[in-house]
Amino acid sequence: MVMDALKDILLDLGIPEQEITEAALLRKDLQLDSTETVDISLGLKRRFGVNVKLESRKDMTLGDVCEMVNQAIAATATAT
Amino acid sequence: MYLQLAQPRLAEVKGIGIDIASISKIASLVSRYNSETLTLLFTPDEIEQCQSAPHSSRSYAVCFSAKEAVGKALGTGLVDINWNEIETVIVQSGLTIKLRGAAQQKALQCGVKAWLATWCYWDDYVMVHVLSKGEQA
Repeated sequence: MVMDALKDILLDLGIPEQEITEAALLRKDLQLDSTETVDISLGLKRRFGVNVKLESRKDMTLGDVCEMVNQAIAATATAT
Repeated sequence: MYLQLAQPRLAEVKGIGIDIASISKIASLVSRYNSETLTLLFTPDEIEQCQSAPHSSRSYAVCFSAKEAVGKALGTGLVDINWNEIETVIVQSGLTIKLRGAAQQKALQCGVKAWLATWCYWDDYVMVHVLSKGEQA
């Protein structure tokens, strides 16, 4: 579910579909800049209502991002 | 015999940060999200300032770029700092930087007491240059 949403957001940003895999790194593979990274965060907040911070020292894969979103969703569900 | 030379009292520069942002990219981002979602990125005061500015997209781009530049001047980028913890007030060609939360803590740890910030634009781009100082201006 989260990967599908992530894929939609990345397609809107003009990332070719074949490059959108769970192992793809945001910076090294997808060449996302800070504006695009923020766009993903805002898109995920709108779709799932969670805040995920994608600025990190280590380059993240799309799989890592999905994991972060799932953890944030679970934490929100536990809190309510 | 010792010769003591008078040292000029220079404001201690703690860090510098420069960032360039595309106005059209920021405009596209801002147009696709409502104000509530945008508060992840901008403070309510920034949103109000930019919405009422004559060149709204340019103002948003300046605020965005200033956040990146401040992160660079602090030496960490925005890794442990939320975007909305750095607020920018646009005044003519200068900027006033206000920090809160983790950004303010990081600045205190670095001994930053004041900021100097300027901006300019050309074509589709804005550039923000910030300088953090160890002394009040």
